[in-house]
Amino acid sequence: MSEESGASGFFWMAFEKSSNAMVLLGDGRKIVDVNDAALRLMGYDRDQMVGAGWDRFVAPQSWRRLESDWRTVQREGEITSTRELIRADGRRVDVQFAGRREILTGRKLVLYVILEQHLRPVTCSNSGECLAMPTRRELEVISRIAMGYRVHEIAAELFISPATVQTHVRKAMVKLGTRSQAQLVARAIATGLLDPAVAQAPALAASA
Amino acid sequence: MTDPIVQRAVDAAFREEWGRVVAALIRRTGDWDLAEECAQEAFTEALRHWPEDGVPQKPGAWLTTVAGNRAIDRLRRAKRGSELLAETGHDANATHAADEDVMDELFTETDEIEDDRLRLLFTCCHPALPLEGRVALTLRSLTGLTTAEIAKAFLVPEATMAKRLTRAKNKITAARIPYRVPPAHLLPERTSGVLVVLYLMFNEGYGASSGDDLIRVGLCQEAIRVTRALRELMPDEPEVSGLLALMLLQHARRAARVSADGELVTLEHQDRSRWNAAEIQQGTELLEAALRRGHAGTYQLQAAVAACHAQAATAADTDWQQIAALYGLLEANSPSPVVRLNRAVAVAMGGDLDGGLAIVEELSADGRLQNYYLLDATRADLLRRRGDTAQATTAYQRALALAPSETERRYLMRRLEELSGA
Repeated sequence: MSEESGASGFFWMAFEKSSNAMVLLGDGRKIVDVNDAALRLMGYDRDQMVGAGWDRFVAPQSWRRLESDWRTVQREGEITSTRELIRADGRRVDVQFAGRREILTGRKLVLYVILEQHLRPVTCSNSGECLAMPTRRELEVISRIAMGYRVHEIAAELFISPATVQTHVRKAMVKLGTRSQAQLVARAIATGLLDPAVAQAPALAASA
Repeated sequence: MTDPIVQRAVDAAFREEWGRVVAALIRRTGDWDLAEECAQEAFTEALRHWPEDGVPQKPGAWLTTVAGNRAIDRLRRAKRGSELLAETGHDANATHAADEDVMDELFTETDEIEDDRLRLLFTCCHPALPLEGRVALTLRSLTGLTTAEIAKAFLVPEATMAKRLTRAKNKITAARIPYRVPPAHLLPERTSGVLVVLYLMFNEGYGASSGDDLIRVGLCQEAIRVTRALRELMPDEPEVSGLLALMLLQHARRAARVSADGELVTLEHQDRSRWNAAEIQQGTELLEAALRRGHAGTYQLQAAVAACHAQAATAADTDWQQIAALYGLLEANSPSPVVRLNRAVAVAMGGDLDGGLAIVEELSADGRLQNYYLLDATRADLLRRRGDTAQATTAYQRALALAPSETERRYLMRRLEELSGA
């Protein structure tokens, strides 16, 4: 980066200290540089991000858009889009960003400027310690509990054993710092992890 | 006959101290007209006394004291008037007590001069006042330009400007706009409001180009002076430094912007040896220091663009690709069609002529810049560079029909003639 500062000094200064998180991508969406705000947003050190592939930091739900947006920005020169990113601590961040094709110090790069960011709700234990996010599978289990499923019904639907369902529930309870399944569901809804609508899903017909 | 040395000292004091004297008097009396009149009298006194007594060591303190005494005299006279009225039935005691407070206040010399100027600036730029009133009031109160000079600078009759100033002052009283630096939670927003006024003041002067417009060009200097003072008072605000840097970097080009025969010279064709190197250096240093503080705002980004131009030894050396990236940041920061147009130029000049033109065409279709002659002028210029003479001619003609001033029309005419000659 030092040899780059000389040639495009003002841009690099503005980039580094901007309050907007920014990422510069090169060929194959490899991270060429990130600014301080982006490191704060993602919770990584510079060494962990620079040189790595950008896709690594994008949640699987956003992977399909990743490729099509990249083609658009190459073709049109710019794009505005959204992404779900994964922080170092596992928490998810929804971002809205503007992407532009730029030529900086002779290299063809793409600059992503994060315009809006929304960190998914924090989950904290009673002691105030903030814990990791439940996994997607754990959330699938919790949402079915909220809908009134029994363990063996969840197991059947997700093609896993009842013991695995119990393990998912136990791990999610630890992560959300709850003591019972009822509290687990309540907290998952209160912290925005679970759509309150699941609780209104029609009750399962009594199993025959 | 006034001694030229004393005259110069008074002139210098006028430039340096007018705002301070007026600001202090407004704080103490709350009366804007009284403050201006007494400040004026103090400077007249200086012309009378300084030749005999010598120029005081602290001209500002001398002037503030004299102006303060004048204000006391006037208030005393006014009080005597009101006491006469009081004898005919008004509450004499209440009036009396209130006036004594004012007197005490006037005699108590507080050392809040710098804060005073800041108070004055924030009050002049209060969002409750109409924008043109803010600019006029700032010039009158802080720089001491006369109403006639301000009127000339804004190309309006003196009576119109006088009315504008009176309305603004009345509004301050009527709306009870507090004479203060806004509290912390309002400060960022209100500071950016002040910067808008200062940049408007600067641009009003920068837009003027011919030699007949000396007073208008003087507006640039006044804007720089007030911004400089603001920066001394708010040294930790990167955007204040950014604006000062932007002004200096633009102002540095003034000698090269107009040719000997009074024609507008575009950046590309300016004689760069006529740029003011000292101002460029100062502007660049201010900018770098501001950028290092972080949170590059719109003024810093615009100053960065100006600094890129300033650093290019020739037009061909311009780092257009960096400028395009800076406009990209600016657009992310505060999107506007004008910023987009500027980015389009930078993209085109940076080697992607078609990409730049595509943005310009999109802006033409968008319609928000419908009557903005620079959109058509830019489109014409890019088409010309691409060798598309016929389309360029049509675009130049459209621009010509929209151009606001004779200088700009003459510039576009020259381009048109070049095209038909080619």
